Amino acid sequence: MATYIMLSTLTDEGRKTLKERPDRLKSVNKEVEEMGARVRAQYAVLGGYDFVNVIDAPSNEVMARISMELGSRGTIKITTLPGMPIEEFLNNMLANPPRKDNSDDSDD
Amino acid sequence: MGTYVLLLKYHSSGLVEAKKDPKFLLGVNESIERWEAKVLDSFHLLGEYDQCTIIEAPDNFKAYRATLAQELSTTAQTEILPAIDLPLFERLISQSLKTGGPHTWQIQGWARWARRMMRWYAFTRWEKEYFQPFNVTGQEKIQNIDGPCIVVGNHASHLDQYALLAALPEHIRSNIYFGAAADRWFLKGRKEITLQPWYQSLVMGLYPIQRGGGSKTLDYPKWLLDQGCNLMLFPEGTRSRGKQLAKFKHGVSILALEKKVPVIPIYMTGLKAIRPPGTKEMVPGPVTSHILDPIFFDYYTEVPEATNTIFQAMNAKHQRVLEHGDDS
Repeated sequence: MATYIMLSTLTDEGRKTLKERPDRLKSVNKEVEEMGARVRAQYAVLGGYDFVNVIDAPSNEVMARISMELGSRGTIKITTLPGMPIEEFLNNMLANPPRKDNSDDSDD
Repeated sequence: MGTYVLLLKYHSSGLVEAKKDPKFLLGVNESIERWEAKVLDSFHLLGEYDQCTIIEAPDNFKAYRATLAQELSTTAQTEILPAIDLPLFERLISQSLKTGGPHTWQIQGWARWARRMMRWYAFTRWEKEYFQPFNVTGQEKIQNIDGPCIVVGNHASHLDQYALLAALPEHIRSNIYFGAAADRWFLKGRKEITLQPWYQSLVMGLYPIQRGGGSKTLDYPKWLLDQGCNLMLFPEGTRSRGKQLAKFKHGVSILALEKKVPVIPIYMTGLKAIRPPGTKEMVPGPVTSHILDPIFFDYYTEVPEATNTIFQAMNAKHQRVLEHGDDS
């Protein structure tokens, strides 16, 4: 499973729907799970986005499908960023150090 | 503690650092923790942002300081988004903003009888279960007060109301009304019976106070005093978080001076330990309500002076308890 950070912003239509039917939030989670992914954490946030979701999904394709499916309703605009746990990323970096002959390593 | 989502975009100098020493990426987390914030989760991203870090911080200011430390040490641009857990958010948006009350019928004979009948269910059973043991000192000081009065207490826990009520003699207790935040206790449209505005007025003896409502919020308590009822208020306005008492608001003094009624300060100990702030679980513990000397104001007393007198009475006891413990 890979991790994805889904940043979403409600459209005007989405705000109206959510106000009328707050329980939609939960049913969306269920739908995401039916499409083969798992919602690891979810936050409503203040700022440039309305929600931040941390989702585990088996592949980019599954995630793209979820993103398309949820976005097609016109209630949210989605930005999905593939993520990896920072320790995992660090270990990868340490295991694959930059090549010494790389010219952009030189000071100029 | 609040949750915050930090979205980071490294500047080129940050990327150079990360390339030289990848462990630099974890240094970010250390710098956040130096500012009393805790990293819950952290991801490296592909796309618009480079890193997403979810942190817990005591308040907005400390979250900002943690971010600032990060910006200075890592040369990354950060976007900080205060976050709310989704179940709480869902509950908040399902709530109506309309409030009910005050209900003037709550002082009628039938309502007082109903409240007396419900007392075990609403109050006494909790007192018996969690106040172990429960002590009251100074009850003799208020035996002779039979007119309307204002009972005030220090406010550190949701259970304060229970310890105050249990300390009062029946002639005051049977006709007392509490001011409670309208946006918390009098919201319309909730499902549970015990959260209905009418239930708060009838069974709990509460009346709504609109936060920031100005002098209008005193109209109903003034009317209650005119009807010969007693009032109970927390002059701190909300639960105090620190070790010291919070600054007292003037509402109690305005009411006491205008209606010429005495103020009975009661200092309570032990309640914070039964249900510490931020937890829902309760553990039984000793509770004591110290009834202090009633305060009668002269007609020429000014409001700030009266507020200060009430504060000094409570604070003297508070400082004694802080220094020497509760010697009851």
